[in-house]
Amino acid sequence: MKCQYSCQTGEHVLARRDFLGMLTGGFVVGGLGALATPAVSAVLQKEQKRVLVVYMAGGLSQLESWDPKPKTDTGGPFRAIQTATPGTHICELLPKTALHMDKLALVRSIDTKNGDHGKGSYQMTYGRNQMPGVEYPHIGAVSAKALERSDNPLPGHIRIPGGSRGSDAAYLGPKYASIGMNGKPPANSARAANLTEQNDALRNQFRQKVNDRFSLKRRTAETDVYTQSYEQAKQLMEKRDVFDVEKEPAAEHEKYGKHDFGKHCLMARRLLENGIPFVQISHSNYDTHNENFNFHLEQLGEFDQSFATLIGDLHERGLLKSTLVVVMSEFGRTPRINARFGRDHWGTAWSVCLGGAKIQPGAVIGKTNENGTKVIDREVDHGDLFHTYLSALDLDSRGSFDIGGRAQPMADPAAGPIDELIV
Amino acid sequence: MSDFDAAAFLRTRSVLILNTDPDVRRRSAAKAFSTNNLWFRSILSRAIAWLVLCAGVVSSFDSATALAQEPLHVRINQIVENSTLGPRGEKAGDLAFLRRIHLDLTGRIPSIDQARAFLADAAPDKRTKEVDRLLASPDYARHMALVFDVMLMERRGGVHVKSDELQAWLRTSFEQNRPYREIARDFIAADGTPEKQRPASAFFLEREVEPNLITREVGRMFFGIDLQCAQCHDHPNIDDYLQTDYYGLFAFVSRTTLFRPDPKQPAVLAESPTGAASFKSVFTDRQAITGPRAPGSVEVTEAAFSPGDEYKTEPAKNVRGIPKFSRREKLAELIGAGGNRYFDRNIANRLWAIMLGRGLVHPVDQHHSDNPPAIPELLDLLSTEFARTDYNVRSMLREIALTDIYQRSFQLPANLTLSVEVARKSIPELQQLAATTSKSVDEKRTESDALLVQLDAALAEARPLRVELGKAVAAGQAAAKTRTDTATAVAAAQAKFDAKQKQATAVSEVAEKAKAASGILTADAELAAATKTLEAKAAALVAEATKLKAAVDAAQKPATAAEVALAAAATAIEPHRVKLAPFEAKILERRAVFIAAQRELYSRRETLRSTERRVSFLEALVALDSSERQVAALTQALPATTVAAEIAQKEATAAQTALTAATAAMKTATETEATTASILAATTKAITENQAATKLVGETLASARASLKQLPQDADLTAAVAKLDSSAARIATELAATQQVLPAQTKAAEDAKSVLATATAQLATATTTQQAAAKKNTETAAMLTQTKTQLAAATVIANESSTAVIAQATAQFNIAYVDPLTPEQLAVSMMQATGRVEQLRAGEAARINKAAPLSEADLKDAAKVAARENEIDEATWAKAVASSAGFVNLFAGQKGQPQDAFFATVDQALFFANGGDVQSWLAPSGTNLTARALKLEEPKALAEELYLSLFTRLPTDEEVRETADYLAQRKEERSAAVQEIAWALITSSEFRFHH
Repeated sequence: MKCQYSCQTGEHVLARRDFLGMLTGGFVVGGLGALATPAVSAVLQKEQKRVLVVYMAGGLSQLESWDPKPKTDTGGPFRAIQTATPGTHICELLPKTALHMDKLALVRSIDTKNGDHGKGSYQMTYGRNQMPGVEYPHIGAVSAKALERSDNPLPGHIRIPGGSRGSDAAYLGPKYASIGMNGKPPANSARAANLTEQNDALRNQFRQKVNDRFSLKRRTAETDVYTQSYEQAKQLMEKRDVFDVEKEPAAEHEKYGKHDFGKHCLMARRLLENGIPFVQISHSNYDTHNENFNFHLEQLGEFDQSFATLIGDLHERGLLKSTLVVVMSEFGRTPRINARFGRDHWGTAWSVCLGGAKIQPGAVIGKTNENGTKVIDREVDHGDLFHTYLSALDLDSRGSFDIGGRAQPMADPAAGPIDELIV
Repeated sequence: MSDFDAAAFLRTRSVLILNTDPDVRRRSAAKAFSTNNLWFRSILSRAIAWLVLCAGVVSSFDSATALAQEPLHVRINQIVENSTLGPRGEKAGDLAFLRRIHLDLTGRIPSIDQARAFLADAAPDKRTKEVDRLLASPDYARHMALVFDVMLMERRGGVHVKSDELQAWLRTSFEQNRPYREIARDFIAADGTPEKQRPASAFFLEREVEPNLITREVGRMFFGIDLQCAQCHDHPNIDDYLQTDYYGLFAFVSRTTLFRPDPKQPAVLAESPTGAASFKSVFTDRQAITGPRAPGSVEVTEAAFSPGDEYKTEPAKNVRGIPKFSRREKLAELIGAGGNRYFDRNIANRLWAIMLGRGLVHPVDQHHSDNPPAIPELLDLLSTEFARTDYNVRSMLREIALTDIYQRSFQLPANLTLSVEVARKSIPELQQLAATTSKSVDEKRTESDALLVQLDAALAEARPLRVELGKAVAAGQAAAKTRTDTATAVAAAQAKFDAKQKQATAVSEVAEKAKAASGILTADAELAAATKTLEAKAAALVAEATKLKAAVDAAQKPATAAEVALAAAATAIEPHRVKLAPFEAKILERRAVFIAAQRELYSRRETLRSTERRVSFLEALVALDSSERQVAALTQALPATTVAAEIAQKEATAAQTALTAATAAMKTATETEATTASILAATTKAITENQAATKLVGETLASARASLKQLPQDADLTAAVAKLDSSAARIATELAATQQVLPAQTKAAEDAKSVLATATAQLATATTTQQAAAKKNTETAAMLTQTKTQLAAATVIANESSTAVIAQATAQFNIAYVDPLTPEQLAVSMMQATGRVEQLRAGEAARINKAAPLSEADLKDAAKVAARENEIDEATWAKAVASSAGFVNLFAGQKGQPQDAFFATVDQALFFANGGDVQSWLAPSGTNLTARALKLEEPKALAEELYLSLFTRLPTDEEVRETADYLAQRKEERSAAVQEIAWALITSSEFRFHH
């Protein structure tokens, strides 16, 4: 009896996986071959899950955003306002976002024990402390790999803005490294001028025949993945427009704001709508050692319009239930206001805002004290948050990737998800 | 296909288990497998074990005398023959072999000319010749340089040492066929200076000399163990990887740092003579300190130098420190000496992986006892033989290339089963063996744990003494620093004094001479004044010098004191050392005992896992066999069952029809019977009534007649009598008529009854028949369903078992591994196949020959012509390599990550589909592939040109037909059609994968 990779009933393929799992005592998530057959992915992933990270570069002040402390020595000049979730107040700089807080959740008890930009950025986007000589994959690479679907040819890990390919996938391999998007379609996605669509189809049919013949002699998960990549390439060529944000109507541009961040939010929506698993956009710059309040007033005004529009759209279009949204920074800012009306680096007690996917809408996790100088309830760190993101996507955050026979934990084994935040 | 001789296997295994020394086990294993007589086998292994133990020369035991009569590849064949199970691929064809050996030894597929020449060669030993030819070619060293660069550097490079430089250095090493232990040694020993193999310093420098990274990478690359997870605690998933092993390696490299005071100058390595490797587990709080230790060995002996005397070169501004005893060099020395079991097994396994596409231990940096080699005896043989031949890479690759296992086909054999009886019988025995081994593993683990406790106790005992020694050494180092500082002060003061003294002497001499002169020229006032000035100056200088002298003396005092203090401090250290010595000895001793126990534990566990693996393989084979039998039986039974079901179905239908008819008949009969009976009853009733009427009328008539006799004239009476007469007559007639039909009606009623009875009986029969037929129908249908279900289930199991069998057979190398070409193999093979290489060569030849034409005389000088050819060759490959950079970007793993994981991306497919490189290589030009093909009118010749160039094989008839059809379809655009066919072939799996 020849090996029947081609017998493609769902039960059968799963049965084979179970069977092999039994033999190898195995790790199963995303090993090569596990997602190689469309039937498997169809069974495993009925719905494409997605992640949007909004990175507030420099360190957003939690006091001017998610965890205001008005009328205290650290509170600053701004008021707290009611939100769509009764009892939850956020800073008055986010009036439009406040209307969507019934769809979002807050974690107000983060202590990452770090005040360095580089380390903090690593902590929050890699879910671990940086260790010399060891490389881990970025949340984008992890998402791209874990949420990958063989029927989706689009790249899995997009960073906006940018132009080049990142090297942030570590052992997951370049396939999952970030692609900096500048509004242009991917390289080589246009057919050569002298090749008609018909002739391209002919030569691909011929290629397929040659492959079929080879697979009679020997067929492996790798040969399957290879031949499949051409099908995906064909699909991607048909979807080139996805990357062109100018295809969006003028009214949409108006709605999101014509500044860069607005454009990036609109581009993010377009990409997410088309099933791209991971998109990260950034808003800069929140490193407000001077004039913290003026800066936040200005910056958050821009953020609030575009972000609130985006959340509203994702919700209305039914995407929010399968899309995890996280607004994060490398750290928060000091409760103490310095002599230049600034706030400095602060990793001891700060917040992130997140929602969508399996995040419980309206939840508020953890607490800081009266004037925000320390966490007094449900302390978590970047590792726990990373687990939580994965759990919200219905992934087993304690599972491992099988990379060439080496088991690589998806998230830091020393941390765990905030279970009560997951629906 | 050979049957697995489980009994022999078991006996060999049990012999192996009886012997506790791993070396003995290894050698006796190899020996045992090469000898047929079982009894002799067992006795011999014991005898060897005994001899070895008596002689106490385990490490120097020369297996050559016992084993080396036959070439290594023959011995490998024997081991493979004896110890692997399952279906095997056939010997690969000549061209398949040619493609494979070219890819493995030169990094690219053979050219069409090479393929044709090899096909035409009738020599029986042409494969051996080809292997030797390639190993002697410049391509071999060039390719191995790349392979080892990628293997050891994982695409790092270019920050401190250019990859080209490292590859050039490696290439020279492979050209000279330096022993691998020396190459490896240089990677550790190179410190970045030109005199010490600077290119090899890339290993440290390109990792920025980060001690934890270097520790991990030395472990992975040179010892085959990835200890990363053992940095903060013992490895959570791998029992063999201990935190203490991590720090043993760490201790070798942690004192080395990157030294680059001047960014314009190249970075080099500096080393400090101090720095301890102490650690604490974040899980268990177990803490310890370890000296430098290679995996599976005890701490190395370190030369102790007195404080102040530790450096060969003292560190200073712009001067890197070089200690008298360098731990890093010690590691280099240890590696360079060869013989470390981990080192030997790691490189043997990696060489195997270079040739076979996958290590016997897979992944190659995961050597541990829960991940035993696919063929344990084979890795034992390879590693001992590699060491015995002094790490001769070329000869090892040659031997591997000549084995049967290397030359196997990648195609699956048609029949995957093997002698299942043997397998079935072996399973319980192997399970028994596994159980026994498991027990012995547990025993050894208990013992090893106890020994670790003892080791820890010895470490604990030594700890306060080590602390004291540490303090004394620190005091000594402080004293040494004071000594250095005070000596520096003295030297500075002395220098100042010397300078002043020199001035004073010079001026005094001049003053003396001036005084003498003014003694002669007494009247010269000017001279007298000058003399006075000079004398005053001299006096002042002398006074200053005296002051400085005092300063020197003052400085000398603390210097002398510091010297004394240092001597005292140095002396003070010694007693601590002496005191500690027995404790250190104890630690060493216990460590050695612990390591020996560990090694035995690992060895047993390896046997256990290996046995379990075999059991699972055999079980899969048995499952495959029985499920295939079941599938066959059920498939065979299926038609008959189907027919039976169909017949039963038909019969049931017929019976049902009959029943329906019988029921209808019954109904008719019942009705008929009822009708006839009621008619009869009516008739009978009429007769009775008639008879009564007759009687009544008769009686009335009689009395009427009597009355008439009395009254004969009575008209009424006469009329009544007449009426009665007529009535009587009518009734009589009626009665007669009725009586006449009575028999018929009676018969009809009886007939109907009888028909009813028959119908009733028939209905009963039909009912019975129908019930039986329906039951049978249900039964056969159920049987059919069951058969079908069973068939489906058995097919699933057969498929699973088949997948498992294939996976395990592949892991055992029963079939050649199908693995992707590396980025460089892919790029250069594409260039080779499309004729791009020849184009590059022509261009380079023209360029070089134009720049420096060879004269008529030169052209007659064979040496010069060869040198020119070589120069052109080098330039061509430099161009080809430059062209593969784009492939590396798209197809290679990330920098600093293992490069053996396969991934196929949309980017890659788009690059081949629409990218400029491949399209331009495929455009007809000069004598490149498509240009040559276009000149061939015959589709067969054209197909041959393409298939032989791209796939190194001839096309089948079907493939020729397909090519012809494609060309016919695109008659008007022949050139485009040929390019499209070539594109389809070059982008197919057959080209993309090594097989």
